[in-house]
Amino acid sequence: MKKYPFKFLDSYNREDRGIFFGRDEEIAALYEMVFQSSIILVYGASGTGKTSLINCGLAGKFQPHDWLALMVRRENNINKSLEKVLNDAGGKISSLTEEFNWSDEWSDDVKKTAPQLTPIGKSIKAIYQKSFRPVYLIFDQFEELFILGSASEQELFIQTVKDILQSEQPVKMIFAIREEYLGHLFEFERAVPQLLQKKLRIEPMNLEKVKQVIIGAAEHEDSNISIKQGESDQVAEGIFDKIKGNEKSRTIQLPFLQVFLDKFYLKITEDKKRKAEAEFNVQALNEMGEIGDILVNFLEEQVSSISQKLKGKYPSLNVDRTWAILSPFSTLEGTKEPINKEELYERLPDYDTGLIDDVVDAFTNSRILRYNEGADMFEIAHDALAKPIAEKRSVEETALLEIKRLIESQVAVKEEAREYFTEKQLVFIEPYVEKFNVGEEEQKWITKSEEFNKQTHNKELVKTRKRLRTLYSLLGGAMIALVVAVVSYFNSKESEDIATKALDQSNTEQQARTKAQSAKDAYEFKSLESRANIILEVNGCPSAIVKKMDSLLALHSNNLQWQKKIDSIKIVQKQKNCK
Amino acid sequence: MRTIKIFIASSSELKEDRDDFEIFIGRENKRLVDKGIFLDLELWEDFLDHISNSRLQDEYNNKIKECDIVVCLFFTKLGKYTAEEFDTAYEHFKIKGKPKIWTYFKNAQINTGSITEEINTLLAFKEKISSLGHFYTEYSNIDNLINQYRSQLDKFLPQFEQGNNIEVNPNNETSSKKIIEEPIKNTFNEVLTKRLIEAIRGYDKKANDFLSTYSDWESNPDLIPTAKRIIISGYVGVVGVQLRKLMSIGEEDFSDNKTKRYLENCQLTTIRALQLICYALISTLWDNQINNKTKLSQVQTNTLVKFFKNAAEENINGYTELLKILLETFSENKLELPIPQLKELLPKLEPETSFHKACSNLNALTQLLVDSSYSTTDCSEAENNLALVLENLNFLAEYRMISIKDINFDQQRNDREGLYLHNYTLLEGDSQANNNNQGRVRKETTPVISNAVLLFKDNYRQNINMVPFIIDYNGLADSGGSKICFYSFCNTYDDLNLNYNFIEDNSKVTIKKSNNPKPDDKDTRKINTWLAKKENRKDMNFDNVFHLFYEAKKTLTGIEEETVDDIF
Repeated sequence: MKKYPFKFLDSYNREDRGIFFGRDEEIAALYEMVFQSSIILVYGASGTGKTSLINCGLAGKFQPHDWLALMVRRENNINKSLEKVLNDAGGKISSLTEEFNWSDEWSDDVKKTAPQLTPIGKSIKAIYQKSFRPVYLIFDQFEELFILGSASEQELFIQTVKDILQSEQPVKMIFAIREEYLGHLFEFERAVPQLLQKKLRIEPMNLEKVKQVIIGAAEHEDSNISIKQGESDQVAEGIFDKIKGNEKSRTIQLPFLQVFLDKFYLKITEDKKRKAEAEFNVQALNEMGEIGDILVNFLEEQVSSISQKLKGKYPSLNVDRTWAILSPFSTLEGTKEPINKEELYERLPDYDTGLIDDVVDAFTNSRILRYNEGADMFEIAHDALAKPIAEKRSVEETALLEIKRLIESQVAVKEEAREYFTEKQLVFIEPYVEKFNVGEEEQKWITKSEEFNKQTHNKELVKTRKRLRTLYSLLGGAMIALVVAVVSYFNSKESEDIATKALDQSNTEQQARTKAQSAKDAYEFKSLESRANIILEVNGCPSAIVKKMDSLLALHSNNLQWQKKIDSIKIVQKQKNCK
Repeated sequence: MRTIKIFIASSSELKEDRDDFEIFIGRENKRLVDKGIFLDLELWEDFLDHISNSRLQDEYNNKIKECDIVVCLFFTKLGKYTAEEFDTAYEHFKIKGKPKIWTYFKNAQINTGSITEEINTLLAFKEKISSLGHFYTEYSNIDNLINQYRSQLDKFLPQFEQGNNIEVNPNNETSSKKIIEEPIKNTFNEVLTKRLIEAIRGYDKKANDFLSTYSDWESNPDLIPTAKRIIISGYVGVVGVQLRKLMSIGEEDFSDNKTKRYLENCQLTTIRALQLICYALISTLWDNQINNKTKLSQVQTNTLVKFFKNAAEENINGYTELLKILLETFSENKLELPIPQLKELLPKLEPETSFHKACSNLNALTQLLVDSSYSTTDCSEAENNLALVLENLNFLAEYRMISIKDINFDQQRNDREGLYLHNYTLLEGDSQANNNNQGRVRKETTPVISNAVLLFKDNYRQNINMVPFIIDYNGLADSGGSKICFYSFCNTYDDLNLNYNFIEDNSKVTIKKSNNPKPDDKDTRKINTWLAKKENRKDMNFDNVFHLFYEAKKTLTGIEEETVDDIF
């Protein structure tokens, strides 16, 4: 029976090796590396197919008796996940077999004992002895350790890797990581020097590889897709050009290709069950039209379609609210963040749980989200969707997430080691604090920070007042001295001179007062400037603050520096279309 | 010819499985035709049901009643008529004792999108047939189904031949449970493990300790894997690698693919063991001929010529014959055998001996594999034959193999003597995954041949260098790790390239002469510059292998490397 050969955004497994095309060179290179080292790194941009390359391409090179792959995802903690995976694979060893000295060194030192195995080493030994298949630990989405994991988690994991390498058990480790996180491996490499010795970069799809994918899939005997005779190259090149668009790059992103091929198939067959046979041809391809940001368009289509479908049941649902439900699945940086239903409900307190359930189910059915049964979590089906979801967030939502992270990162530390939020940070936090559920501990720390800042501010005010008082006292003294001098002078000079001197004294008084006022105004201007910049940073509009600054400037019209600062703020305002 | 009618009922979603089942029945017919049995398969598909009417269903029911066997397959749907067909079969079975019914539920991954409400009727049906006392079995894929069913068929056929239809008391349904399913015990490698652990105890301390401590190990499931691991690590690395694969295949669930791979690997294990010994002998003979020219007989020379000129892979029989001639060469010329125990092996290579027969039987598996006419019985026989072969080669448990990576010289100022640091990899049975690309280091007072693959017993210094017949490709390429390859054949009538097999997957690796010859040694500056580049050193290493092979060929057969002059 003919089958649909594409897997949309799902990754390929060993069973799919018959329909996995376009990565022959990478598969061959990776297979060679397996026999060159116990630890291999596979890296590339998001969506280049690292997981599929390992689970399908590499796995397909091995016979079943030579390959036991254990996939490890970080989930909540990589060390616990690894332990769970090993336990599930049968990593419990009988005490009887521990008596035997496994040392096989043929040296004269016959009393040499086998290395003591750590619990992880014993676990791997037990797994190996269950099936006698070499164990391949595949750490997928390894960047999650650095995005979501703590320093202590990372340290413990590095030590575990060292233990595994020293265990002398039949085990190899393959790490799949997004290339933008390679720099995070610095500490790891210091502890495990062979980490980066065997590494393979998975490049985006060039024209040749795209041809292999399309033509390979079409020529596969069980495929329900074919290409019109004589048009294979044209169709493949046409698809490549459509996806590339006006970009000067020589490659395209694999998820775009996967989405495009699916759209192309549906356009020809209109069969959502994907059972009908389809013949790709140039004419149908030309009718597809130009497609811009395919993945984002696809995502928007799905969001729109789901909003429409569920609107009958939930009249309050609209496109924005649907996007908001997707938002928690993406981190601030635009990477995947697995989340369970309970956490989702907490993150969306204003949403009906039934609505959330239905929307999540709908996204799961349309393959935007995927359910990880082992961890009981939902996650975005593909890395490449995370960024567009993050970009759809409102300014307020992004600010909320930043504040949440800011607060949580401080409160996570022991109280003795915490730092108070600065005034700048409190200004940032204040408008949003009621918009999400701040915990008791978190609220306490915010309050303490406010008190601390108030105390600091008051101390400074007191200091300023003291200074002003000293100044006034000195002025007063000067005035008295002056009066005495005037009286003396008055006695010896004409009254006009006295009046003139009295005027001078008054001017000096005025100057002193002006100076004090200027100092006060300068302080206020600085504070307003700071607040305005903060608001601009979070894409807000500090119009009211700018007005106050203008008022202050009016009192100090000669202050060109202030003028410049206000002007630059106004320029930024204009750029952000503030009124 | 007795005909067994088999009716298969399933929904259309299992069409692929049904098609493969039909192919399986066809293969079984090839096997059973000699026994005078023909399996007549009736295939009825649910998709026809939408045009069926009650008259057509009566025809189905009549067919069922006429059949001897009904096989029902289910996955995510029940199929309206499949359920009726089961009922018809069951009712008829209760009265008449036939047809015999097998029910299988597929347990495999599905997309959540393909789950419909019909899954509920399927679950209800499962409960219903359980309550009737009818056992069902699960299968993961078609290979698994075929292997399970083949075992059932093997049990059913003798009963059928004796004309024993099971009588059923309608009030006592327990007897129907008995005949439906029995758990299939996995006995793969039981014989091999038992025999080999005993065979190597005289040569392997671990095996001896183990058997002394646990004389009843066979009855303890926790100790059986230990025994297997001792065997894997006991035999010399390249044989241990093959034994690991066999042990691993043996642990798998039944499937057609498992059977095939088990037979293939029984053959490969035998070939590797014979190759290892043959190459050790050829290597030693070569060294002897360089130092003391021994006159070889015509038969002996012809055998060596055949070996070096062979333009295709040799089989087990070929290696057995080669081994025999080589041992005779050593014996007749009173040459010292590199492995003393080989003296006792020579008489066992005569035809009609058990060793020779075992090798022959293992050789004959090739035809079964080509015809796809093998069964689990063949696996059992292959296991016995392999056990016999390896029992006779149990001395290989005394030997070790290492691959020399490079040699560093260390002599500090004022040291009287320097020391050589040999970087090497120890080749073990489970070494493929165990490889630390940094290898091990050993301090010695003398160097050793670069990139050598050494076979030795106790004394590292008294070794047999297996190059160019066994090479470490990764060592030669300086790419880290180990990739042990056995010489297979030469493109004698073509480009003269040498073909090797990588022991992990039996894939072909070709060694050819590079177009990058090493500069003359006389030009020191030029050669130093050339050697500074890793790519050049790699070419030099592979060219050495190529050169060594033809040197050995010339020394042992007198044949110079052939070249073809282009007269134009």
